[in-house]
Amino acid sequence: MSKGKKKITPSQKRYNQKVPATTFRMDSDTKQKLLELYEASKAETWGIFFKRLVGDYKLQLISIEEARKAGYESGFSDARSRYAVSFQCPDCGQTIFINTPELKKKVRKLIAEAGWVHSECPRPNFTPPTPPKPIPPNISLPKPNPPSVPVTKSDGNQDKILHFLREQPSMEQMLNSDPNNKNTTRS
Amino acid sequence: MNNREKYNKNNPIMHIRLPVVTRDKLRAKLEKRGLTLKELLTAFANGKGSSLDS
Repeated sequence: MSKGKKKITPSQKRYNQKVPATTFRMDSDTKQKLLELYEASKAETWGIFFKRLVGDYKLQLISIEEARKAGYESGFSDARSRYAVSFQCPDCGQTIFINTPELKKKVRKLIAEAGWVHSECPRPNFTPPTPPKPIPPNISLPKPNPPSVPVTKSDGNQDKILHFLREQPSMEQMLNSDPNNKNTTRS
Repeated sequence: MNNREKYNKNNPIMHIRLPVVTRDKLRAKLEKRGLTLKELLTAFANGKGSSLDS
């Protein structure tokens, strides 16, 4: 029986071109471990197992130092959002974290001056603030004058009139605003 | 068992078939780190790779 060259069918040739085999040698212990992993994964084929290993082609190869840094930053931001005490600078509006010893000392002093205690601790000189009295129904609140809108039928500029009406303060704002203070904010 | 057979037993051949595009992408990623497919699989086998759940 002559040992001729193995015949490759056209479909095999196309498949080999499309899905080529990467071949290498590795020591038998490592191969055995890989085969154990393959059997444990219950993957149907070796290719599917390999795809799972590399995370469905989304393998992110990063160095140990990069991974450590990423984990540290992630944990730090989580801890800061959970535990950090901050306030906004009234001038520039940027966030200031209370993380320096001087700031902490000042905050402690302010809290001590304000007389904050545990909610369970008794306070001898403390009187709870009285809730505001409800307004009796027989007292009528002054109604604000309706804005004088120059409605003219001739020009028909309805959009401008509506815009003007929207700029007027609402009833709630007018009731809450100080009547002596004329600088009321408008919505 | 002759020497060739011993060598083949201790250093078996691994065949991995991957689509060309996938293989090239993976190789490019690995080359950036100076790794090969063999080294990647060895790392996986020794528990230094990503988990199977990924």
